[in-house]
Amino acid sequence: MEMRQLSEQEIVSIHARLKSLHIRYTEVYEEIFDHYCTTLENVPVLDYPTIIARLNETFAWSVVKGMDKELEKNVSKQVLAAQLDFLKFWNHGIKGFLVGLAGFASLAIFAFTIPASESILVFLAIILFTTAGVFFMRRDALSFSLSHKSVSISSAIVIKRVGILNTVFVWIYVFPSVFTHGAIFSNALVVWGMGIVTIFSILYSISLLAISANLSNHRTT
Amino acid sequence: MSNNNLIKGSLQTIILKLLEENEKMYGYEITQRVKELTAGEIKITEGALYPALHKLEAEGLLSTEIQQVDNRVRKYYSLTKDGQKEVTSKMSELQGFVENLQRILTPDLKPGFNI
Repeated sequence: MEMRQLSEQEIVSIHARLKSLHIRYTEVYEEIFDHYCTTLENVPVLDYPTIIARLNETFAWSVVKGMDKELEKNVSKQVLAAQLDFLKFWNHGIKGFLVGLAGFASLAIFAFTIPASESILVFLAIILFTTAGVFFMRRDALSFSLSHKSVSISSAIVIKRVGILNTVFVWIYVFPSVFTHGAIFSNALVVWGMGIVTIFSILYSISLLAISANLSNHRTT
Repeated sequence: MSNNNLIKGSLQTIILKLLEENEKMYGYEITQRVKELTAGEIKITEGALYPALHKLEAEGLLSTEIQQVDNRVRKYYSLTKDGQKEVTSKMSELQGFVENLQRILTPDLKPGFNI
């Protein structure tokens, strides 16, 4: 049987069905949409109602949500691997090695020379800078929560990671400081701990910003 | 024939093997090829196929290529170098399993029997 061209009305109905599923990620939406179209192009017009009903059953709400979840899990692993890869400065040639080494050294000096009570402000600055940068580069990820449009999975993952920084900030810096009325900063061990956390957070932020900038822009559906 | 549980464990191997024989394929094409090769006896469910493809991609065994087809996007999958190596190992793993299964199901077969 020869392939047929889907009518405008048929395409609109496929989109309507997929939009009703509130598919979170563009990648899943586009792949399912192509699957619907290709399947329907290969059947006669008369069979359209039967086949689309079968497709709707195949791509039921639970299946689509499972696909969203699986994709998120897989891309999350990929983003983490990319972050770690970015931070392995010794793998980026001599220039990368020297820049990385200088960066790490200045970061360590900076983190351990500022007064502990001010480290909270440094951390706040990191969060604000990273959040602003990531949201600016991956702002399409906000579409889902605002209008239920599908978003790029990589954007969503990167934005989610910013949340980790906020959590670290609240649990490591804000809560202990508030509960002890600042007395915690007189404990040398805690100050060292905060210094280390600050270094890791800065590295985490830099890698997140680098990945955001590198990600190709996906269009939203 | 309801064989979903049997297919589940070998889905990745099926995908890798098909992609070894075909340079690049997209989801629908994979389901149709399996149907064609098995005369409709094995039907891969789309709900399992796409997550498996995404997993293989995340593991670096597959690479993807986006193509514009009739005003829509089509995602093609192909084997990476690591994926090509993995096909051999997955195939021998599955073949070994099938042989052992055959021995259990048909105890009269001699141990040296190969399928």
